[in-house]
Order: sequence, then C-alpha cells, then structure tokens
Amino acid sequence: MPWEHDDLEVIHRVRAGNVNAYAHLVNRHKARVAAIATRHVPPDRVQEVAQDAFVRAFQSLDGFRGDQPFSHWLAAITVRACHDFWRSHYRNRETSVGYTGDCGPEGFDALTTADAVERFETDTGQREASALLEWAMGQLSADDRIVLALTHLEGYTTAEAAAMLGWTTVNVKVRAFRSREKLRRILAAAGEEKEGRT
Amino acid sequence: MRSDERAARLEQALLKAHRNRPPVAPGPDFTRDVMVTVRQMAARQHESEMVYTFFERLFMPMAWASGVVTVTLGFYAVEALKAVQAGAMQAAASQTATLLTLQAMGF
Repeated sequence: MPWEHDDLEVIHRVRAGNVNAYAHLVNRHKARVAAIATRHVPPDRVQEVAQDAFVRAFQSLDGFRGDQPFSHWLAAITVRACHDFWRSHYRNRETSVGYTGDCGPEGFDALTTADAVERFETDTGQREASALLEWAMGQLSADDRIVLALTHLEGYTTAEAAAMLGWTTVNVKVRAFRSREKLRRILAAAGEEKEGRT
Repeated sequence: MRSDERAARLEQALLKAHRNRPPVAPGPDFTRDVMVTVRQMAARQHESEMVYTFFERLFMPMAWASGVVTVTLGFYAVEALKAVQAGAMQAAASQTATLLTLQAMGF
C-alpha cells in the first residue's frame, strides 16, 4: 500500500527531528483512530481518547520497528488507550459518561418490553439497542469489556486481540469466554426481572 | 419465547447495533490540538537532552578530573538533575546557574 511507504518516510523525518512532519500521520490516520475509539468509548470521549492515542504513538515512535504497517501499530495503541480510559473511569467512578446516562434501571424497563427484541432488529430500534448494550457492558470490568468488544463485537481473532492488548492468547480466550457468559447472564437476569414484575 | 432464547436473540440484536454505530468524526482542530502537545513534548525532550549532555559530557567529567566536586556542588548538581527529570526546566537552569557560580567561586 503506497500509504505505508509514505508513513515510513514520514516516521524517519520525525525521528530525525522534524516534529511538524508528525501532522501528516495525524491527518492521514485520524479518521481510522476515531472510528476505533467510537466502538469502545462514549461518543463524547472519542476525541479525547483519539488524541491520547496519537500522543502515545509519538512518545513510542522510536519503538516502531516497521515490521508491520504503521496503521496496525497505531490501532493497537488506540485500543490500549480505550482500555485505559475504562480502567480510569472505573477507578474514579465518574457518573457522567455519555450514553449510559439515559439507560439506567428506568430506561431499561422501556427497552425490555415484549417486542423489544423485534424492535432492536429494525433501524429505529438500533439506538435503543446500542444504549442497552452500553448499560450491560457497564456492568463488566474494564478487562472484560475490552476483550469482549474486540473478540465478539469487532470480530478480531484471539491472536489479534492478544497482540493489541499485550496479553497471552490463552488469557484472551479464557477472558473472552467468561465475559460473554457474564454479559448473557446480565441480559437474561434483567429480562427475567422485568417479566417477573409484569 | 424462552428466556435463554430471548437473551440469545437480544444479544445478536445488540451486536448488530454495535456494528452499526455511526463513527464520531474528529473535529476541525483535532490535528492542531495533537500537534500542540507533541511539540511541547518534543521541546521538553530536547531541553532535557541538552542539560543531560551538559552534565554528563562536559560538567561532570571536568569536575571529576579536576577534583572540584564538593558536597555543595554535588547537592546542586543532583537538584538540577531532579528538576530536569520532573520537566521543570526553569528550575534546572536556576540550579545549574548556582552550580556554575559556586564552581567559579572555588567551592
């Protein structure tokens, strides 16, 4: 891919002291980095996490060996920045994190009506479904959340997810399995609780 | 519908919703904001390297060779290096200036 050759050339220039050349890499890859962050953090935090990813990449640029495309290396850094966002969030117990806000216990009631599943399968129900997923994912730990998102939601292989997170493949496999079980239990329990009340 | 079937269908619907989530586009100032931070980091790194070079390659070898490193000079040298490590370049410059003055006075 021609871009990858260009990326290497720009990286050489940055390493040689031309810091301003880094703007080329930011411009070229910012949409992709934001797209990755969109799938892992609330919309109002995407910009902040994407910026963090580019700053981290600059700090680690001397460690880029060039044995993989820069975009892959940057994607792994972005995923780790997203993971750190949730670890920090859980540590600080912030209350104002984007779209989880309107899907608490009250919002959940509206989303688990009898026709909810059918509605979620239509375009109009997608936003509600996304909010419900965020609510359920919010019950998981940061580790469970990131591994579940990578392996089940994003469709990365175990090896790819392991490389992105810096974990062993066995750890990813075990954690992914348990995380999915936890998510299913959360959804099933919420559905049963709702049915029990009606 | 059984609750486990319902949970499985619900899960599939949620996965689809996740995949269809519209991406957030970076704002118009995104690159500028990143570059402000990056340039600051590069400047700090450059200053740190300059001060380290001064200490490691010029000052310390000369001081050791001439035997003029005293407890007082050593104290200011360590303080200056700690300031550099903390990114406090003004403090480092101040400690270095004191160091050079003391050295000139024969300490």
